[in-house]
Amino acid sequence: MSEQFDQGVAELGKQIDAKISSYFSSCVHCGLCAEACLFYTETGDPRYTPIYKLEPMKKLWRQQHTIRGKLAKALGLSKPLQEKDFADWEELVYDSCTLCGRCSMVCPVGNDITYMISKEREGFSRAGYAPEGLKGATQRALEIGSPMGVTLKTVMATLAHVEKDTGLSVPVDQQGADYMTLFSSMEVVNFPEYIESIARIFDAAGVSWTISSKAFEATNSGIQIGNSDNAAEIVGRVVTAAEELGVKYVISPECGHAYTSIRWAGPNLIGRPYRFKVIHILELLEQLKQQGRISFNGKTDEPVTFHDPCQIVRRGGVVQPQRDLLNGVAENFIEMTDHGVMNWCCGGGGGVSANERADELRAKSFDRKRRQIEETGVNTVVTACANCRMMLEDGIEENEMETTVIGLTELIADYLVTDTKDQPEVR
Amino acid sequence: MSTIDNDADLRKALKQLNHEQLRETGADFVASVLHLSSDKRVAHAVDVARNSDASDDELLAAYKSARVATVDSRTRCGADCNWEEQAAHFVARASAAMVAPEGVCKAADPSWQVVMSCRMAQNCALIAADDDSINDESENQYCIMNDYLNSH
Amino acid sequence: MIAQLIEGPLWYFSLTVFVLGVLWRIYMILRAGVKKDLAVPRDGGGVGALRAIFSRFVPERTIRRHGKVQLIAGYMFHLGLFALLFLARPHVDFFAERITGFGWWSMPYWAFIVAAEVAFAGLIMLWLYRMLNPVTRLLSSADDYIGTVLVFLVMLSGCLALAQSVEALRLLHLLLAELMLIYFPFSNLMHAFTFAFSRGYTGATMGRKGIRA
Repeated sequence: MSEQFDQGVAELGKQIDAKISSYFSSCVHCGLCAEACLFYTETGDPRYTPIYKLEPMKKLWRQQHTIRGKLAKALGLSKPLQEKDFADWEELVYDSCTLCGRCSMVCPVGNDITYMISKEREGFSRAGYAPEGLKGATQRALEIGSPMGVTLKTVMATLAHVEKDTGLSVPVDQQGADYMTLFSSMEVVNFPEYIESIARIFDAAGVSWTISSKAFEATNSGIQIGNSDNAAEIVGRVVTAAEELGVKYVISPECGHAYTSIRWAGPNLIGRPYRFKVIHILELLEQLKQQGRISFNGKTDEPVTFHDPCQIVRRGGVVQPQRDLLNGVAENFIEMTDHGVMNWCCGGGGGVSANERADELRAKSFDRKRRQIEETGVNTVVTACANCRMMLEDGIEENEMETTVIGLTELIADYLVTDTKDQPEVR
Repeated sequence: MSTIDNDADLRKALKQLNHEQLRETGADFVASVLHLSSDKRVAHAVDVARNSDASDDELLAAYKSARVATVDSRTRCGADCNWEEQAAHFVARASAAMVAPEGVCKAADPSWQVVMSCRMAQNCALIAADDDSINDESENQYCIMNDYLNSH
Repeated sequence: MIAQLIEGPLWYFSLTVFVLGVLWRIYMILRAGVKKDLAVPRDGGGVGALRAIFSRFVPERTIRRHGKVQLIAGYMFHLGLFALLFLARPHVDFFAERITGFGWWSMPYWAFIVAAEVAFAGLIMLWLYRMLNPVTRLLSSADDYIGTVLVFLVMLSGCLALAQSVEALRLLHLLLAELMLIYFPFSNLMHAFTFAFSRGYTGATMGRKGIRA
């Protein structure tokens, strides 16, 4: 066994805290977590049962934390972890888990299985057992500052385009601004209309904002691959930039894992509280609406539904703002059957969308979302995460559906009342 | 005499057009950036959009094909972005919006999607070429719109 | 002599192993520690923890349909067992004599029979489900089956002992219970205590995010 593998096992052992130990002690193998996991429900393969993805970690836990396990190891009845254990489980740990969190919501004994898988990834990634796509993304994030190779130059080029189109300026490195916003690479590359939308909204609301030339990237590949050191480095750049600029808030954009990283994981990664607060763009937009700083002219009468990004809603705690906002611009908002905290994952989070090896499984898992959309009877899905949007569009094309996907912030911007903008008609 | 020179006027002008006219102007916008894409499905969509005799089935087929082209050409999450390919992606995106059947996704305003996606395509091309020039595709679009309105 | 062994030293030994073993397992869990959460909470973790300990007794809505057999059988077994263990007359007398020094209300004989049948039916259904369902079959280990068999034998011997009023059966029941007490801390049966910690930890984490666990 290689030194790297030994380091991975050592790291896995370090990740076993009281929570993990309690969770393994409490699991009675009831299998109910499988019923919450779209990889199991859409394939029927019992290997995708969430708690089963933790077998390597469980083996180590038993050997290190239980009387029976220690005895078995001492008597040679229990073998130490082998490379084969990691090799065999890599697909389960990375391809068939988006860290969506549904399993954690249903476990009768209260196990946070998602948390456990995140911790298990720490060992796997250290041992070198992680998908190539994620490794590449993390490498680029550390070296270039973006998992998709987006440089400051390309961000500035995109911002110049936004400024020209809107006639507004996008402040960069504005000392003492109230808000510092981040973008995900996905937004810059695939959905730059998000940037124009927030420029227009912030102008209408009179928000004092800026971006940082030193840290514009919201996505944290370190969280997805499961490497806290990398994750800390990436989030640390944002923290340093925000604190240098003296902003009151950092805005997390429409990207699920970005929110989990900066809002919930970040302070624990860097080992101290921030000197600013974190707010999700949806929370801010709702606040601005409630304060009367933004208002909308008209509503679309087209029936719409909403796909809840897992990391923002179930794992992030932002549940209601998107609903209030959508009801403000849509006359006919129809919820999916399992909506809000128990909505189903798009199938692409947790690094799965960056993992080419998982494409076939991801496509199969989309059946659940397809049925959810079809049940609503609507042809327009609104969401608030660039990755979810991509996954929805991929799945919609794959299944030859008529559905269109829109970003919520874009939709808000389209109906925004401004001084100069021509008022849109009801569409 | 049409003298559009800003987005507000462009939007206003687009709102005055019927669905067929929006398709014609959309085709003109996409043709302006078509050189950034080598995808035959996208070129075909422009041809169909420009064909006043195109049947509903042909238009629908072109729409579906352009949507697939859009998804196929996008940079996947976490992948190293190739800005030339992204430019082609936005041309595909524009072409899909261009031939979207009437009434499809009114909330997202397909005609404005065409305008924005063409501009984004040009922006990506400039990034790919490491060209610091200002993206003047919007001016180009104002001219296209003025020409169209003045000739109809 | 065997009777004296079962009633005397083996009882004390098994009880000691049980108590110390359970405490040791809980200590091993707590010793691993949990890092303080430095993120600004949206809501209280303590409230979240307490809420989850009780709320998870009610199955989550979206899995109620698919988990119907397990949920119904699970409650039949656990509630039946709870009634047998703490409210059956012979047990109340046993606890009063050997542990607490005081007794409490016990259920009438007919209720005992009902509880026993409900517990048995639940346990057998769970056992069959575990063996027949592909998910639980994959997940289950020897530990799960040993625990099931032990509980079944303890329950069976107890019911026979009460029905037949034969001393040997009562001793067999006590012996099996003692074996189960010894097995308990080394097994998944520990969930009887650790579930509260698990629900509490998760409830606290989710509570701080403003999510009801």
